[in-house]
Amino acid sequence: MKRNPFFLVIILILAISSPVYSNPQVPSNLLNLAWSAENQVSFVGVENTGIYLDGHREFNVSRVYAMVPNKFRREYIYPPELAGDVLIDDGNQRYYYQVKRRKVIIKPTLFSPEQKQLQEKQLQLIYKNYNITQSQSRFLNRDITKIVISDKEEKKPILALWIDNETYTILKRELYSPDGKVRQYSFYVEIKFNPTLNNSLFIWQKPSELLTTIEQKGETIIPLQEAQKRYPEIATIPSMINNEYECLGVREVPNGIVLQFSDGIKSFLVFNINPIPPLPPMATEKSVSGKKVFYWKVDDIDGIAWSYKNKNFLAIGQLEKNIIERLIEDIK
Amino acid sequence: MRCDEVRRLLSAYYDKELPPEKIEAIREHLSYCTSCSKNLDSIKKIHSLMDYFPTLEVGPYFESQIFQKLEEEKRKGKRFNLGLKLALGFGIGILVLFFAINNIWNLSGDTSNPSLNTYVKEYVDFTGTHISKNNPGLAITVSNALGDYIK
Repeated sequence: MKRNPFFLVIILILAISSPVYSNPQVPSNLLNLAWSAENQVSFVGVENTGIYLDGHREFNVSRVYAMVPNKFRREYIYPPELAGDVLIDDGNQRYYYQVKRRKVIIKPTLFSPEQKQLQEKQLQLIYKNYNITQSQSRFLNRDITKIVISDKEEKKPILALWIDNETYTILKRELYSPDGKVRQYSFYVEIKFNPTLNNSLFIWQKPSELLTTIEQKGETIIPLQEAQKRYPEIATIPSMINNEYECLGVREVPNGIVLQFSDGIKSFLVFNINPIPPLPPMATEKSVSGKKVFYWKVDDIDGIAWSYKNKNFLAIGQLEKNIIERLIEDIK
Repeated sequence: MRCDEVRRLLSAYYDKELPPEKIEAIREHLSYCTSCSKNLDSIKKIHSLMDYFPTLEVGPYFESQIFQKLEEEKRKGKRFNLGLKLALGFGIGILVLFFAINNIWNLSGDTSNPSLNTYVKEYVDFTGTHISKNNPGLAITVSNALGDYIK
């Protein structure tokens, strides 16, 4: 039978307009686009962000403004103790003004090349350590792709992202506990893209009632190898722990330094500080790899403190038993 | 209603001294907050313990005995007034010396010690990258909520 060319053209048009063809982004590409869209789209929205602690929810609501390139503002509306607080990122620095305390904390921008590098590193770790699946859905009357990042072995969802198909903005996020319950979340209650925004929204103006200014210059992240030359007490700590968690860098903190470990989503921090602050009353003494440590757990956050050769260490985060053992072994 | 507000009102709630809307709000909060429910349990325990104390019967000369005791204390006070002044002066001197030494130490090195909460906040800030990035308020909320456990 002779094929009708008109029929073939129809098939071709249908194939091109089908969802599979029109949305060719594989999950990893989509994640890359979503990560880099953060400072590439202007919008105004109202966001609800929360965390479940000890079985109940703590959350805040804020109005968010984003302007291309690299400008961000958040105005807190709820709860009452945060209402009136403002965060401004002007692309160079971040100003967090706490109105009731009449205090401003100034930190480097989150749009710096160092932060971008950190994000890229986290993405690489996500691809390495997790499974990524996607599905199409609707959120806030917009077409979105829902990305679910799951544990490779147990296939448990760890993080879910609702990504806008048109702008790649992440409209909703959910982070899950090991038992599968939502641990942290954030979502836009409303969002409007490409609004007309006044540049003055993103300029920090010192209020007359300001009492305290804290500049946190020590936010700069030092690569592990460089930090190990400066601080010999952390020289034996490897860059990878259990082939999953990688040290993303070292930062200065009050009374010492902190090493930041992440597997892309889960994380823990190792502090080398002097002195160790008073530990919570529930801290109990344990022996790990023949070493005396103090361990406690508050909600989902584990903590251990130990000393080695007059140096004090404190680890805080999601600390599985094998991570604790490895850390103590390595620092020996 | 938030935990700190509930805790402040718990005793009045137990004594039924609150308006109905507050009672309702606290009751709802207690239905899911184990920490505040435990606090209420403690208040109940204290009250039940107080029930064991015997009620004191006041005798007919109670008032005059009290005034007599007060007069005696006043006389003793006058006798030791000079000694008390000397002791106070010595104590203040020691305190001034202590603060002076402390200031010298502070000049030679920072002795301010952050609490564990400072380091927990660092963790919440870092781990919240995927959710609470650019939302420092969440770290404050978390550390306030955990503040009861970690000072």
